[in-house]
Amino acid sequence: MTSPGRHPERRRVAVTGIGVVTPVGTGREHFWRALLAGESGIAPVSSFDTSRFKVHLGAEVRGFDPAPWCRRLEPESLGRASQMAVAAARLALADAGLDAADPEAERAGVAMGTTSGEPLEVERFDDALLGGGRDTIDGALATRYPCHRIPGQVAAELGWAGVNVMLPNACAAGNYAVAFARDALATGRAEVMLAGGADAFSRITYTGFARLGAITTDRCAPFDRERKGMVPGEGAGVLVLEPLDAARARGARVYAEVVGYGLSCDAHHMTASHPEGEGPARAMAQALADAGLAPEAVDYISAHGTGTPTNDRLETLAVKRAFGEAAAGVPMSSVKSMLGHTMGAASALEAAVCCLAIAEGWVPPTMNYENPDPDCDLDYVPNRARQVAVKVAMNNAYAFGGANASVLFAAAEG
Amino acid sequence: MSGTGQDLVIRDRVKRIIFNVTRIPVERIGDRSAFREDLELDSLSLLEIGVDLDYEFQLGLEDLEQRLGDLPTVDHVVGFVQQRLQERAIA
Amino acid sequence: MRRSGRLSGQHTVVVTGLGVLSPLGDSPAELHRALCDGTDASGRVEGFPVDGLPVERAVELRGFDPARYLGDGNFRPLDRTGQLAACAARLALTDAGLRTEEPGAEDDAKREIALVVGSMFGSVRTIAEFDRRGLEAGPLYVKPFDFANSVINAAAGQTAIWHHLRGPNSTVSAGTASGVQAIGLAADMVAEGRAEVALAGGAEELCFESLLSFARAGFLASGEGGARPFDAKRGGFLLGEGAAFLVLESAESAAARGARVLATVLGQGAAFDPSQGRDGASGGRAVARAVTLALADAALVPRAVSAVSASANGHRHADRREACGLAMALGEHAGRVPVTAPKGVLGECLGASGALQAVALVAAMGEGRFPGVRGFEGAEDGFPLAAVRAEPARVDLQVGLVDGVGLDGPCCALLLGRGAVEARA
Repeated sequence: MTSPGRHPERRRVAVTGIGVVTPVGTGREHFWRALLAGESGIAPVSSFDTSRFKVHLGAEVRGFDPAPWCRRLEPESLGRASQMAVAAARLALADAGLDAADPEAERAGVAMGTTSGEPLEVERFDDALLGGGRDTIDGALATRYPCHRIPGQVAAELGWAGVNVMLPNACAAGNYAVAFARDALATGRAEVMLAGGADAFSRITYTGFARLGAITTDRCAPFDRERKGMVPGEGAGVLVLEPLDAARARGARVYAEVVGYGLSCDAHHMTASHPEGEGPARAMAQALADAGLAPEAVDYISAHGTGTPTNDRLETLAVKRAFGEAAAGVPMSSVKSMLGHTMGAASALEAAVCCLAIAEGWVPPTMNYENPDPDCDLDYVPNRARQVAVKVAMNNAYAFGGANASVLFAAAEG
Repeated sequence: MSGTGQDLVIRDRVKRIIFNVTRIPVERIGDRSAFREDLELDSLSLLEIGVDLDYEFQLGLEDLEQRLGDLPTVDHVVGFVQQRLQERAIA
Repeated sequence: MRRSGRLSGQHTVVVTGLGVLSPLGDSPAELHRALCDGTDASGRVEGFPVDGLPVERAVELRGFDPARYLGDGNFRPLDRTGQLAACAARLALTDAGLRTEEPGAEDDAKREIALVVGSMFGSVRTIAEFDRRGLEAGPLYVKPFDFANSVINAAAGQTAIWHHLRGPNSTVSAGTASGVQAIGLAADMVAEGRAEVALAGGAEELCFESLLSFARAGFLASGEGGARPFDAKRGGFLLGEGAAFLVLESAESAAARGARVLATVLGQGAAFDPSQGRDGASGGRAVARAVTLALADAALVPRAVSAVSASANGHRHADRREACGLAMALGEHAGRVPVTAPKGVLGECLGASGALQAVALVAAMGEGRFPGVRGFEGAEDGFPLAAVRAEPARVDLQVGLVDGVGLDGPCCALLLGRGAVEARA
């Protein structure tokens, strides 16, 4: 099928590499195998003391060593989210069969997303302020903390000089980065783009979600009737995007094509979704229109699926709004059931899932699903991965502040 | 301070907290106005008010969200705060 | 004059409104006057305690009252950054003749207006205070409102809620180039038809956390002269704060509703310095590339540029990198083209800077007077921009270039044409 997008003269864009640092493992192969096996990266939090909280589960990346991935930069000079982003970027390039020096530096760019950037720098600042006093404080909050350093450090590590941007759109950020990168390539502003997201685990983020009552006390069970909430996590996911014709010319493996995206805003509430799923439905509809596809063409949806009572119910409603009767027939799973909510990395990792679903013909499960919920009555691929011929996959993500982003991937044909 | 006097002080502090969070003038916060139905406060605002009340009066609430559900008006809140302060004074 | 030559743009993107909130005024005309006068609005910070800080001065917005712009509604859930953004957005929407108070049938909210907000930190104050409350009082006492505002895209969310902006919503962080990149992204949305109307700009507040950190990083000017962009004696910048938005709209939408067109977006370009500000030559090349790409995007030659709004803020090295980059991109014309550096007056407003520059540039278009560079007495040897002056100049401002140069890598450039620029067949 062809996907003309808005303008036939725009270049088609392919995903040729995937690199990930996640709570279930590092590297595309390990990640995908773990997801299909239903493995969980959720465990009691280890990086700080949660004894004053009523909740204790987190999805941390354990034992991550940035050193192997930092060949130009000193790993200690990078914040944790930047370290994971650099690692994922190097992994993605290797996966794409590309050396950092292959593309013309000025035509190689980076677009990343995040929720909090490098919150550990804020924690360090505050610990110093409340502990030793102001004299001990250095300039790191001005130099290391700003979130644009994440894509900047990736480009510095690779020696890339093309467009470089951070789109800190919280839980939907990864999708925004993929959309931005796709446009940069489609319009000829770049020849290669890395697109992804990264976030680091922090007491700040954990405390906030705990205070909102959003964190589950037992398991992360998206769409399950007894679901109690989400699990904060961390990680990084990076995709290599390049023009489809260029990818084919160099014999690259093409996972999928980015065929469309849609963006909308609830403009309703900072932490609660619109009660009728109207904003998310519009984003989905726009993505389909952008790709020139009908809802029936979608074979798999990677859900936002955080596991909170409200999100999962409203997301189901939104999908029904956008898909109509076709909703019941589309498998829709949430890998957050295994990865936790990796914040800015989430929709980048879920984009990787969509690409892999298309390339491999398997969709990952929604784990911990035990009790059907009458308000959530779609096919969530419960507990076991499923073999599905996926030609078109949709990636949905919804952020604090009401920003909604849907990205469509398709098997590259024609 | 007399029971009524303390009641008034607590009531005033509670209403000021609600004003700080919502900008609803203190005069318009009725003692029996329901937070959700009459003042139209959303859950985030209610949680913010709850945290401020807990902090202000050092109530030491472990289960704030549940408690808030049982305190739909200023009268309820004032009564609860008084009771809680008494419990802690005895303890 | 040809419009954008890019493949992507189906629609010509015009500017139909401006909104600005700054220590130099809350109207584009006031801001323009202050920039031409070289007003010194810096002073000892009053909004938070600065005793003992290495730098106590900034360009601070004093007496900011959101009620003046937002009316009776409850803006307490918004932090200062969110309030700045929401207020500036209101000013821009009003200036454009757009009403979004009620998402009803007659209201412009039905247009699903997009919003792109440039921001460096979100609000570093909010996230830090949230964290400190947890440390001091325990995790049960952190403030829920602060958590909602601790995400970097909070201002964009709050502003969208306040003004019923239901179109694409994005925050952009490219350091001090954020605002320029944000306008570029919003222009793309309108050009491609993803939105008929988009609010594009930035917001950033001044706070203890940023003032202390920038001072400790050695970036801030501590002497009497304040910040002196491009000047040989420059020794750093002053922090500022504020918010600004442009209303971008498709030419068709503007014509259909009879909106007055202030300017046209002609082109944009972006690049990155992989040395992240450490290598001057690399940095200059990145600036040059962003500008060259913008010119190509606009199908313009360098001498078509009437004036430049530079990103220079008084930073010893960044100012020079920018000057060299401009010279590389503009060639001979660099020796003649009038250049202003509004951060000499506004201070470095981080995520809001690029938007403030763009608003000031469009304001200058209608005026005929183009600001100089406050405090400029002379540049160092080998400085390539010969037309930098302290005094304003009379300029027929047909095409303006806005530069956003980050301290550690990102470079963005934007070209704006006066009024409605027709597409040539």
